[in-house]
Amino acid sequence: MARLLSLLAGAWLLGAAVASAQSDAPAPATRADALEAQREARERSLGTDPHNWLERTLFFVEDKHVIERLNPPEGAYPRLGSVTNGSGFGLGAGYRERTAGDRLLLDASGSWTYRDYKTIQARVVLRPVPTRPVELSAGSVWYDYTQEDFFGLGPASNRSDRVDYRLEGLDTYAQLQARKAGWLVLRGRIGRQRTNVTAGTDPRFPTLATRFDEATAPGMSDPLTLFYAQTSAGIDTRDQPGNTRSGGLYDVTAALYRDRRGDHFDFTRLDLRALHVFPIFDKKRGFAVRAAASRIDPDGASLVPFYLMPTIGGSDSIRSFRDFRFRDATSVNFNAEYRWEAFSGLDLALFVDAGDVGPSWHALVGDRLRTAWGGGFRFNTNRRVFLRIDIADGREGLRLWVKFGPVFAR
Amino acid sequence: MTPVLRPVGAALLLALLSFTGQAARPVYYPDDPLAVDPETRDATKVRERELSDPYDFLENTFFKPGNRTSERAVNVNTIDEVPDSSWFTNRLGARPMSVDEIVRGPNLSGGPAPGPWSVVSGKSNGITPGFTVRDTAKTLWFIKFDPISNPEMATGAEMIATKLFWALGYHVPENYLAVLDPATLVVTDTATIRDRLGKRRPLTRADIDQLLAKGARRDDGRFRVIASRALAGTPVGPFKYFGTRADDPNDIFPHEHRRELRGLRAFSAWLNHDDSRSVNSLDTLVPNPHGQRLVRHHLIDFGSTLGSASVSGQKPRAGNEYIWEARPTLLTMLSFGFWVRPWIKVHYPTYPSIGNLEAAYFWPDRWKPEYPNAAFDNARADDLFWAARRVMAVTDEQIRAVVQTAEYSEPGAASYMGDVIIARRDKVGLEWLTALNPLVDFALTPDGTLTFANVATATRRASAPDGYEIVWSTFDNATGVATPVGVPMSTVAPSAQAPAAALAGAFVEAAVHTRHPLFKEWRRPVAVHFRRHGATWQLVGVTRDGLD
Repeated sequence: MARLLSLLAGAWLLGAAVASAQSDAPAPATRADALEAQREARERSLGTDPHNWLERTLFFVEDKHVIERLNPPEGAYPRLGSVTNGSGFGLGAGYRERTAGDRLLLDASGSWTYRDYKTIQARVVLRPVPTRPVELSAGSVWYDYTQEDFFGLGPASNRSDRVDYRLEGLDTYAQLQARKAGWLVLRGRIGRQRTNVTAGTDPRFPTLATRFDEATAPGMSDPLTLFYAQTSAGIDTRDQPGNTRSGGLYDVTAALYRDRRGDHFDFTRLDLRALHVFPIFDKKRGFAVRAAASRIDPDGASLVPFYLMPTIGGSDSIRSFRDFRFRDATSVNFNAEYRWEAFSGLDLALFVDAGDVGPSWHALVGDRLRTAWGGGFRFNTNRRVFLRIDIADGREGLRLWVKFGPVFAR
Repeated sequence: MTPVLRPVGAALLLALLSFTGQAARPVYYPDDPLAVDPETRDATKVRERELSDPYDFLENTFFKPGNRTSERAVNVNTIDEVPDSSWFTNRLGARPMSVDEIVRGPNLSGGPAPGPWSVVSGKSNGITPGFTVRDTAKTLWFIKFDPISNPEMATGAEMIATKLFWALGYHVPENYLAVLDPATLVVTDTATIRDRLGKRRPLTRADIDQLLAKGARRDDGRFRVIASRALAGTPVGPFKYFGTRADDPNDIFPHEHRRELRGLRAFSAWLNHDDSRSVNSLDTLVPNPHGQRLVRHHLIDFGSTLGSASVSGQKPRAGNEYIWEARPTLLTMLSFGFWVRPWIKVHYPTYPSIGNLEAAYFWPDRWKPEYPNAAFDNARADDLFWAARRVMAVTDEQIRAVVQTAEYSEPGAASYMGDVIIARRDKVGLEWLTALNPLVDFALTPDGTLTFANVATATRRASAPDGYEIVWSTFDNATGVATPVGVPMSTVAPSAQAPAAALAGAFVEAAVHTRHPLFKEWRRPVAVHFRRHGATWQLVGVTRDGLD
């Protein structure tokens, strides 16, 4: 009864308030009149739906096609991100044009990072039949990597021996690439690579020449011009290269380098790579394994420039070590990742990495195997990981990687 | 509150909450219950507005827009039904509908006129290809395709969902299944296409070929397509599922409190319309009977319904989890992925023309759209009961006839689709027809015999109840006060004779409780009010107690 009374009292109070507010208006005779009165009142205060700053920003992004302009099929485009491992974030611009009925692509771009790394490239890509995956390309890339790291050759190189050097180069090439049946990828490339090593610009570390010489860092003294021929074959069954949830990539690349001045730096290089992602439960979980091996064989008494030697360490390799932490004539690298989807825009990962370098295959994977373990976040769309954050721990401590792309992309 | 007093409270609440500001006025006006919402104001000044799709996702996912108080739907009439309006037209469940009428659905024009289609524009961005064409009668049509991986899937889903949403009462476009022969397409001189950067340029034959390359082609080289007729009137943008449109004088009811938008949750669950969001709606300005203009609100684009996600089969998440949801995300993160979302293990039979659709794991109350929807979140038991009645009004025969309009060529597909829609319908009924006292169709004969129906029992969603208890009252329309007459009476059959004293006034109230061993909620009464109308009694009020 008390509740009924309070209800009645509430109704009376509300009724009184409404009656007071509407005392000037005649009471409606019908429900239709009551609704009409509400609409009449509303008509006196019509406006437009406001857009807040976030909505206006998103409209701008959509209307101006900002996302599409980051990588347009034609015209000017920005270049964002690093130019090589360890270069730091950079900005740049490019221009591309498609002609001859989409058969010919002309593309030129340049980028400059906050660590003063610079690169300029130009290329021409010809697709004789636009609908078929065969393309012939030629181009040139100039680069100036100002703060490259070197710790010495061999598996026993010391972290405290870190030095800094600058690598400037020009790579001019021609390439033929074909894809067969959607999964077989064949590529042949010839080119000329001119390089020059000078003192680095990172004031925190000594320059290369203060700790190393031509015997311990071959190729550091004089500019080099190498001709090369490279061929590769691969099987690519990945569902999405930018955010692989199933399938694999297996390829082998063999390259022959010849020193333009004579036989001082003649060598061959072999790279093997196998990556496979095993999906678990509708691709929401996956187990990725990767193995990579590289070997360089100098011809006779020839040497190999230290900066072209196989290397381990870095965001796509053993993640608790710096980029290029170990270099030698051979390298192996193993990675295993367990990934799971937190929600459709974020995957998490636990990983272990292991690897080694040495002068020969026989010298690899001994007691000194370098290892790392850690976890990471992969922010993604369905087709592409656009931000990767990995934290790794190992013998040389914790290391954090923030990368704008998927792992094992390079 | 005792059972005897509940009807009184309910009547008071009805008086207070139905159409705000009426407390000082009679509970029932002479024109109650309204069958049509009189949207009489001229909406000529309404202007086109845009909606940012990403913003809509962010706003609804992270900010809970709209009014979230649990209150009765504000646009229902006094008998708890939705009047016809620019949003909704009562069809199924409100009147008998033949199979032929449902199969015909909104399609009145007969489809594109015979002859070649002239391409007006193409859609190059996004992953779903499409054209806008004019037929030989100069009518504008939007042409939509199936994905290569799933021939007949998106077009089939669009056909079925269009007809059922129309039958349920919504305004939808005319959608026809058609066959497109690329050779008959005419590219007009004025046809344009927007490139990836939004720049408009002349459309070429090569563009057409490129767009067609994304669609499923039949063995004869032609394409099965949906031809969707451009809606009548001037498009003025989508509606939102909360708030009102600031420039529309007729839009006085917050959308999150509209019964037909709250009830859409049940319809969407039934037909797996996980894309039931603003971007798939469209308002148009149309003439009203007074020579003015009215905003009519439509549901459009049903390509992502049933087992179809337009460009592929539905993802298993669709209908089971929002795009972003905190709890499963945290559980998955913290368990290193060992906590497996239960819907991941759901098995879908392999019918490429259907996609991913099933009825075994589906449970209506668990179903979710792509991201939160204010009207769906506000849906209460009475809203979902209202919707479930309409869902259960669709017969097996009608469902199978509608499925036939999808013209599946894959063996077994039509039969499977019909089975699944029927099974999902029955689950919708089981969930939401039994959640409250399911009494409907109240009538009072001139001699004072009350009759009603138990819709949960009638549709075999529940066994017969033990009986009913009825409390009779006289009702003062001016004050909203009900005065009990006599003692509560019990009956096993859904009928009872009113005491003579209760019939003495202009209004009479009957509060009916249902006794069922399994459904305790049915004890809450349905309070109904009848008004004397000459020698007869007219039903003017239905209130389901315990919800307000």
